[in-house]
Amino acid sequence: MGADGFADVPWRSQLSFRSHYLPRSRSGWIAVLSFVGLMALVQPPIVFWVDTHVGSVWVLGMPFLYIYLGTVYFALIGVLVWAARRAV
Amino acid sequence: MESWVVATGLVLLYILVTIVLGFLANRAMSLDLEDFLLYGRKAGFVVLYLTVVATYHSAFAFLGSGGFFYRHGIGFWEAGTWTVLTGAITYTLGVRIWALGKRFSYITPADMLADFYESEAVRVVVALVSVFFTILYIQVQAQGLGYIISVASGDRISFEMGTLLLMIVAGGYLMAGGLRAVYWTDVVQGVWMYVAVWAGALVLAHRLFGGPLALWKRVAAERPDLLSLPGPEGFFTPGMWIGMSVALSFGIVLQPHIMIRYYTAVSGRTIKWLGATTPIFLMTLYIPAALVGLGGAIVLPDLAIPDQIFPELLVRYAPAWLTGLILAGATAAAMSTLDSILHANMTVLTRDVYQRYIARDREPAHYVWVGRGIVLGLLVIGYILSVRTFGFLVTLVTLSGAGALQLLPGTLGVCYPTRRPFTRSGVLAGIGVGLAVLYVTLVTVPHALGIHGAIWSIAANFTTCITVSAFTKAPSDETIARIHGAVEDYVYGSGEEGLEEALRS
Repeated sequence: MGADGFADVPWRSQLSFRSHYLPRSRSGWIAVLSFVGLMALVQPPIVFWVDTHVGSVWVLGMPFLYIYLGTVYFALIGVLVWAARRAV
Repeated sequence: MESWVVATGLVLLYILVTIVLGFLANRAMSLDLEDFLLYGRKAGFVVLYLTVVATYHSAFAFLGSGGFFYRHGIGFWEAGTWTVLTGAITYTLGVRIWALGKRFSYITPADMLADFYESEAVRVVVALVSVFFTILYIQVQAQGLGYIISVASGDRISFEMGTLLLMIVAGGYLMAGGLRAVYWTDVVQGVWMYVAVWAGALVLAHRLFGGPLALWKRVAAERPDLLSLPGPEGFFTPGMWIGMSVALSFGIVLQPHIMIRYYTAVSGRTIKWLGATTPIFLMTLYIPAALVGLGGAIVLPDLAIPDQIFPELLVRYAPAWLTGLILAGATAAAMSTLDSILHANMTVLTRDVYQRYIARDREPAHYVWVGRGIVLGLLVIGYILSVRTFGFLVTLVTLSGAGALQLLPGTLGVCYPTRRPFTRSGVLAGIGVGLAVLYVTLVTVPHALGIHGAIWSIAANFTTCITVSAFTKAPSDETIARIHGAVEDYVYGSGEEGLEEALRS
């Protein structure tokens, strides 16, 4: 620790930080890419394509779109729980 | 006993429970500002979980979502996208806000932004934007409370009287017990609303249709237009879909009543698990809402105010005791958000305006009393707005979220270190342009080209912020090293141990 309470790490001397928008670990990349990929499935244009082409199908007595969206939402939550368990 | 007496009596009984909790919280509270405003930064997972979900879900979710399914169909199931996004934002952004709040003793969102951008103008603008747009949220809850009590009593208690009564109760226990009272009541309200909405929807589905699957069949046979995109009135266009996803995730998280909750957590790990698991509660609450709205469109097709579909169905088709319990749950949903917004706005105005510019260095008890006065003022404004202007609950909340969304570039600039940080001029210019574009794309040319005003405004905001930041003075090296350094150290360095050590040294 430095005198001001910050850890002594290399960035302090150069004031230039590696971007925090990009993950720095394998688990981080897996979590981000999985989440973004799944989120794309419930956003336009994919969700509208699903509605147009598979909208008339029924699954378990409910409309396909309803089941499809719900399934992807639970998968997204699964990614977040996976990330939390691995402390990403 | 007449059914309206039973239903209204149960709602009033629930209100009594919240008053008792507020009283108990008052006995446990000290006149310490951090305790009154931030629960002493000691909120554990269970309490924080229930207060976040109860605050996030309001009259909007309990009444407005049923109304939106009723009017616009299955497209409103996109609600899952913004609830899951909210979890991800909490996981990534919330934990940074928590760490910075603990490290530098921030109490309001404006504290954090003003410190990084070294600007009192940023503090004032952030405070004003936060308060202005969340006042709309107060209106939403007040309207919802009025609907509930007037429907439960069969209009024997007027909308105006119901609104006034319930606002006074929420304001009363907040003034008595501060954030502790809000959190304690939110725990009860969070559980109650979840059980109530599921129980109500399932009972109605069985009584009216013979079960949820039979309900879906009837909707497919009689109103197939409700089961496809973009819905009967063409509302859910791709642009609106994306716009609502963004406005109701980022826009709600950036409102002070949610951001302040991040500061109150006992640890960063608590925030991460909060982000990972709150979407389960938030998203699944819309499953029964779909049954209510879509089933209601079959049973009561000509309702003048779609937001009233749930209480109307209950009053007509459910036993009085169940109606009372469920409407108490709806009251819980509205009150838990109302008290949180009142508390957040009180905190912002007390801390960022009064304590900073009007009366510095007073005793903590003085600020606690000023905060109570501010709550009273906000209640009056909220009440006047709720009885004089009407809007669909979902529309009002989306507008509120779109306004708060303008704080996104500035907040990201603090919490996410980059090679080229944003500047105070960039952030202020971005907010100004963003709000102007929001006005144009909501009022002058509503949702131009089918794209939600939230998207237009945040795109303009980011573009302006990045451009102006490229040519204006960045925060000082010392500030960047101090704040971005703390983020870097917390996220990729020594973590919570390092944070605790820094606080001790």
